[in-house]
Amino acid sequence: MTRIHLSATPSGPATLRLVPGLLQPRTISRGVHRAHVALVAGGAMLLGGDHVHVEIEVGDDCALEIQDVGGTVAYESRGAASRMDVTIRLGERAHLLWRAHPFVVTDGADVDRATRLEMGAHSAVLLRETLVLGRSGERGGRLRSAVRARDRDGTAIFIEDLALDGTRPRAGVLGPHRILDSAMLLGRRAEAETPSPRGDRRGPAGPAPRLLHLERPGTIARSLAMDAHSTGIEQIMDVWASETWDKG
Amino acid sequence: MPEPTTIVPAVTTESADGRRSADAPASAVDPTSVSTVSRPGAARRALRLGVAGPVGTGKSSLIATVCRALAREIRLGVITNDIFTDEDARFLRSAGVLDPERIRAVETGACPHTAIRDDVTANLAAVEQLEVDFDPLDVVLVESGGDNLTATFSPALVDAQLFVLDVAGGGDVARKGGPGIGRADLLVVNKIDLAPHVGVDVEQMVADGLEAREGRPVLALSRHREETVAQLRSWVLNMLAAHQAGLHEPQDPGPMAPHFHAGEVEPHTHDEAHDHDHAHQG
Amino acid sequence: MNVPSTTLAMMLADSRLPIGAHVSSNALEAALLGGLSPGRIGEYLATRMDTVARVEAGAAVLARHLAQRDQPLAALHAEWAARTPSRAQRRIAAVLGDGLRRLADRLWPGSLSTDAGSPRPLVLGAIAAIAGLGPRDLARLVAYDDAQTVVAAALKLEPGDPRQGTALVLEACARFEPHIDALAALQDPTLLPSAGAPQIEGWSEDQSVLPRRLFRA
Repeated sequence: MTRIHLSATPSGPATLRLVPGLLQPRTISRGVHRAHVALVAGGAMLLGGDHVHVEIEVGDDCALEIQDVGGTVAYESRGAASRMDVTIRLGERAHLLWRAHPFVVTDGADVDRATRLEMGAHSAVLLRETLVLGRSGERGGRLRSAVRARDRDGTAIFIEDLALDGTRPRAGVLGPHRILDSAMLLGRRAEAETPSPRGDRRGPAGPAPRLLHLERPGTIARSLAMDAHSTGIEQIMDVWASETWDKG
Repeated sequence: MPEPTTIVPAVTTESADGRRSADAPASAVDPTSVSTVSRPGAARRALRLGVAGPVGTGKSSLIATVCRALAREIRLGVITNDIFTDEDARFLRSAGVLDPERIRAVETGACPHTAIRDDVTANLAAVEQLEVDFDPLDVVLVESGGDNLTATFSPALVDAQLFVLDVAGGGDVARKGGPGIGRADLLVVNKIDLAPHVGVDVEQMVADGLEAREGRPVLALSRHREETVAQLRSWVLNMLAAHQAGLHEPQDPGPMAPHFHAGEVEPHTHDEAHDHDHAHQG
Repeated sequence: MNVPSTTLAMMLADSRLPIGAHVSSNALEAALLGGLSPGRIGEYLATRMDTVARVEAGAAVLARHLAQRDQPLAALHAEWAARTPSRAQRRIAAVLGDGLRRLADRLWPGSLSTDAGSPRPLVLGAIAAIAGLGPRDLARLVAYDDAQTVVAAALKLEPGDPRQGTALVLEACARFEPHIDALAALQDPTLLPSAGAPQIEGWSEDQSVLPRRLFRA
C-alpha cells in the first residue's frame, strides 16, 4: 500500500511519512503545515489481478498537494479484475489538492475503482478525476468507479457508483463519449463566478463542463468528451485551486 | 369620436333566484376607504385575482397597469404563468411597477390550461408562498398563460377573475362567447385606442360582450386613457372590499358556454353543483 | 381511509393526480436538444431505470421503513441528496414533493412525517407508511412514474404513435423488475443505491437553464 501522511509539527516543517507501494510518492517540497508530493508509477500499471491502494492522510491545519507523474493505465484483465482504492482522510481545516492524471481503461480491462473520503470539520479537497475508456482507436473496457465522501460523523456529501463499459455505451450515462472528466471540490462551494463555458450552446452534450452544486458544500465540474484535451476541466481546476489554495 | 360605452357596475352579486344585480351592498363600499384590517368573519387572506384571456390580448400589460395604479395604496403580489420559462415575469419585473421580488413565475409544462384549472397545485403553492413571504398582501394577481378562449381559472385558485380580449383580435370575438367572456367577473376589451386602426367598433364590441354576459360588467380599456384605467382601478378596489367584507363568493365561469334549450328563457349550464351553490347565496 | 396497496399505487401513479407533476419531462426536453435521437428514448428509459429510478425508489422504500418506525428522515434526506448531485434534480424533487405533501395533507390530515421541502421520494415513502402501500408496489410506482413522465413529455416534444410510447413504459417497468427485491429489502439509508448517470445529470442542469423550454424539468 502506498501511504502519504502529512501532520503538523509544533515547530518547524510538517512531518511527512511516505510509504511506497505500486505507486511511489516523492517529496517535492515541504514547509510549515504543508507539503508537495509527486506520485510516480512504479511499473506497468494495473494488470489483471493487480490491486493498487493509496492512503492519504492530511492532519489538522495541514495542506497537501499531490501531483501525478504520468497517468494510470489499466490493461487487459485476462480473467481477473484489477482494482484501485484511494482512501483519503482529512483532519480539521486540512486541505488536499490532487491533480490526478487520466485513468485509462484499455480494451479488455476490467477495473474496480473506489475513492473514499473522510472529511474533518472545515477541511476541503480538490480532486481531478479523468476516466478514459480506451486508448486512441479503442472503445475501452469495463470500469466500476465509486466515490464515497462523508463527513467524519458519517454525513453523506457525495456518493456515486458509475458502471461504464466501452463496448456498451449507454444513452444517459456517457452517451457516445468515452471520457468523463471531473473536478471535484468538496468541503467548499465554488464561487458563483466560476466560469461556465457552456452558455446557451446547443448540440450533443459536448465538452463544455456542467457545474453540479451539491447539497452540502461542494461543487463538481464535469465534462463528457471524445477528446481529453478539450474538456475545459483543466481551466476550472486552475480557477478553483487559485481560489481555494493559493489564498491559504 | 364619442367615448366608448364603458359600464362598470361596482360589484355584482347574485340574489337567491340567480339573477344578478348591481345594487348589492358591496357597491356601496367607497373604493377610497378600503380597509386592510380584517373584520371578524371576513376573508383574512389576500384577494386572489385571476387574469385570463387569449395570447397577445395584453394580460401582462393590464397587470402592469393595475400595479402602476395601485402599488402605492395596497400591497400587491403577482404570479405569472408562462408556457415558456418566465418571460411574462421578466417583462413585469422590467416594467418597474412593483418590487421584482413580489413577481414570481410558475411554469406550466406546456399545459397552461391545466395549471389554472384542473391541477392548480403549482399555482396555489406559489400564491401561498408569496403570501407568506410578503405577509400581509391585499391582492395577488395571477396571470394565466395565454391559451385560448376556453381557459378560465378554477375557483380553487382565484377568488375573482378578469377575462381579457382586445380589439385587434377582431370585433366579433365578444359575441362568440365562451365561459370566460360570458361569466368571468369582469370582461375587459383591451387596447381600444387601436380600434380605429383595426376597423373595430368598440361600442358594438362592448354591447356584444354585455349581451353575452347578461349584464355582467364589461370594461373598455386602454392604458393610454386615464379614465379607463381609473375604472379598472375602482373595479379592483371594489372587488377587494367585497372580498374583505366576505361579500364575494368565487364563481366558476364553467367549462363551457351556457346555452339555451328551445323554450327556455334562462340559460343553463351542466354544472349543477355550481348552480346549486348560488342558490345559497345572498 | 382504508384501501388496498394496489388501489393506492394506482391512484398515486395516475397522471391526473393533482400534484403539479406535468411540468416535468425528466430532462427529456434537454436530452433531445442535446442530441438524443427520438428513436433512442427507450434506451434513455433503460438507463433511467438502472440509475435515477433506483435511487428514487430506494429512497422511497427507506422513507417508508423509517416513517413506519417513527424514525427521523433527515439522514436519509442527506443520503439521497449526496446521490443526487444535480441541483436541478433536487429542486424539482422538492417542488413535486411539495405538491404531493399538499395532497397528502388533504387525504391524511396531520399524519405525514416529512418536512416542507422534502423531496418527492421521501414524501411518497411517508405516504406509503401511513396509507399502507407495500415496499414492492412503492418501488414499482416510482419506476412507472419516472418512465411515464418521460413518455408523456415525448408525446408533446416529438409526437409519434402514442401506443408506441405505452409500449416503452411497459418495457421500462420490466427492465426495472430485477431491482425490486433488493430495493424492497432496504432498511439502512447508507445502503441506498447510488448509480450515477452523468449525462442525465448534465441534461437535468441544461434543462433548468433552457431558454423557451416547455418543461421546467
